Amino acid sequence: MRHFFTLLKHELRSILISPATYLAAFFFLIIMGLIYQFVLEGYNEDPQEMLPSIVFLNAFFIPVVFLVPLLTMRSIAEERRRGLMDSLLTTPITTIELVASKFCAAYLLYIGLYLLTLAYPAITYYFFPDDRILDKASLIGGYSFISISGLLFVGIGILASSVTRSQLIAGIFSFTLLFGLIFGANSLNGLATGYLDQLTTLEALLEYVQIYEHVGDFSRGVLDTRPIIFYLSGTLLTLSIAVLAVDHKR
Amino acid sequence: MEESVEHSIEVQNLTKQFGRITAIQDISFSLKKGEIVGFLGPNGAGKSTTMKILTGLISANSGSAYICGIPVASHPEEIKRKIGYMPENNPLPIDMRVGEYLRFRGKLKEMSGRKLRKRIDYVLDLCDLTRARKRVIGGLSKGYRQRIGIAEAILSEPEVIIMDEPTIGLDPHQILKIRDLIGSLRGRMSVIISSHILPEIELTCDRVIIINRGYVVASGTPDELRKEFLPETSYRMEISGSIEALEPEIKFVNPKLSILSNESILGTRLNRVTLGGPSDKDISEKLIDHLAKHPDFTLRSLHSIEATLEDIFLAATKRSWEVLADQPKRVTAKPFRKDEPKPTPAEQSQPTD
Repeated sequence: MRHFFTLLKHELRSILISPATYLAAFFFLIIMGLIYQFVLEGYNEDPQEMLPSIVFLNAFFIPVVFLVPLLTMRSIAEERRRGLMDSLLTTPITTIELVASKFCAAYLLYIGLYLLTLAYPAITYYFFPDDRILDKASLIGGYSFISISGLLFVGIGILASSVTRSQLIAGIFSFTLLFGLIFGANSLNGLATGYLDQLTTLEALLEYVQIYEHVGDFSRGVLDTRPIIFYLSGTLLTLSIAVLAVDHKR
Repeated sequence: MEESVEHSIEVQNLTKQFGRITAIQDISFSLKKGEIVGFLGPNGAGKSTTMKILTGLISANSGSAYICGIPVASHPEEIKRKIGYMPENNPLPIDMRVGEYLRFRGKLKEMSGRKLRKRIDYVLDLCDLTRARKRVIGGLSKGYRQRIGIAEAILSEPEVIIMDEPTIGLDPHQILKIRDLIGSLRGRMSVIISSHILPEIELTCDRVIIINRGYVVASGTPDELRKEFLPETSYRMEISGSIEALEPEIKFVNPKLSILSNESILGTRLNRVTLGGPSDKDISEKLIDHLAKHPDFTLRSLHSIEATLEDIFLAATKRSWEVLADQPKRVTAKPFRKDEPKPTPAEQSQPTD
C-alpha cells in the first residue's frame, strides 16, 4: 500500500482543481435543496410521522442513481481511453492500489457532497429554532446510512468504469446496476409475495437487500450488523471484480 | 541464468497472438548492458507488442523475456523498478504541470524527497524543460510533450529504457537534442528505441534489430547489415574522356568494379558515371590515384554513396516477404498493404536466408 497515498493524493488533487467538480457540487446542492424544500412544504400542509431530515434522506436514491454514475464513470474508463493506464501500470504500483485510490477519491467526493447538505437543516434551524429539525440521533443514523451504503454504490460505479473504455457505457451501466439494486430488489420482493412457500430462500435474500428497509432502520437509530455486512461485502466484491477487469483488459 | 545477467534485456522465442492474428513469432534478441539498440519495422510489424511484453503490460503466449536476468512474466513488480518506459503516442495527463507530473511519477517509482527533487532538476535541465516546469502539460506543443515523456522515462535512472517512437513529431533541432540526450545515456543505461526515422537510429544506435510481420529479419550494426543486405557500394564520379576506355581501367583498379550508369553533363565534356563495387573496402583513393595518372581522363569529382539504413531496411523487409511467401497461410492471413512495396520478380530470385 506504499503507493496508495501517492495515487489518492493525485486523484484528490485532480478532483479539487477540476471546475467540473464545483459545477457538479453546485447542481447537486440545487437539486437536493429543492428536495428539502418539498419535504418542508409537506410539513406545512399535513402533520408527518417522520422528522424532515429523515424524509429528506429517504430520497437518497435520486442522488445515488444520477450522481454516482456521473462521479465514477470517468475514473478508470477515461484513464484507459487516453492510454494513461498503461503508463501507470509500468510503474511499481499494483492494480489493487490503483483501483482502491480511484474508489477512495470518488467516495470522499460523494461523502463531501452529502455533508454539504447538512447546511439545509442548519439553515432551517437558524430561522425556525426547533430541536426536531436538528435531531442529532436521526441525523447521525441517516448520514451513517449514507456513508455506509455509499461504499457499495461508489464501488458499483467503479466496477462499471473498469469494464469499458467508454464513459457513456460506464455511466449507463452503473446507472442500470444501481437502479436495479435499489428498485429491482424492491419490486421482485413484491412479485414474490404470492409464492412465499416455494421461494423462502429467495425471499430471504430479497429481504436482505431491501435498501429501503435499511435507510429506515438506520435513521431510527437501529444499527443492525446485517446491512453493514451487506454493504461492506458488496463493496469488496465490486472492487475485486474491478481489479480483475483492469488486470484483464490491459 | 549466468549468461542472462550480462544482458539487460534478453528475449527468447517470444510469440504473441491476438486471436487469429500473430503479432510476433518466435522473436529472440538480447541487449548488453549500456547498449543502445534501434528496433525497426514497418507499421504493424510487432514493435509495440514486443515492447509492451518487455514492460510486463501484456503477456506473451510463449517464450520468455528477461530484464536484467529477471523473468518478466513471473516477477512483474521487480522488473518495473528496473525499467523506464515511454509508450507509443506518449499519453500524459493534460491537467498537470510539468514539475508536478514528474514529482508524481517519481514518487510512484519509489524515489524520495531530496533525491527526487535533485533528479527532477537534472532531467528538466537535460531535456531543456526548465522553463516549462510550471506550465500545464495540456498547453504544451508536441515537442515539449515528447521531451516530458523522455524525461519521465529516465527520471528514476532505470537500468533499461524502452522508448516507443520517441522522436515522432519533433523538429530537426529537437531531434538533434534528443539524439545527444540518448547518446549521453550510452554505457550507463541500456536503451531500446523503436522508430521510423531511420537516420536517427543509425546515428544514435550501436545496433539495429529489424522486424517484419512478427519475425526478426535482421540484426547487427548498420555496417554489418550493409554487408549482408547490400553487398555493393556505389561510386559517383564526374570524368571526361572515353567511356569505352574507362571500363578496362576501372577493372584494373578492382576487378569487381562495374559501370552501372553513364550520362553526359550538358554543356560540358564531362560524363556522370555511377560505378558499383564491393562494400567491404573503400577503393576511392585507388581509383583517384589511377585515373589521375592516366593521360586520357580528367577526373573532376568522385564520391562513394554509402547505403543508408533506409536502403537496408527496405532490402531486409523485402527479403523477409519472400520468406513469408513460402508460407501460404500467413500470406493469406495478412495480404500486402498498399503502402508496402511488393517484392519484384528480380528480388525474388535473390538468395534468401
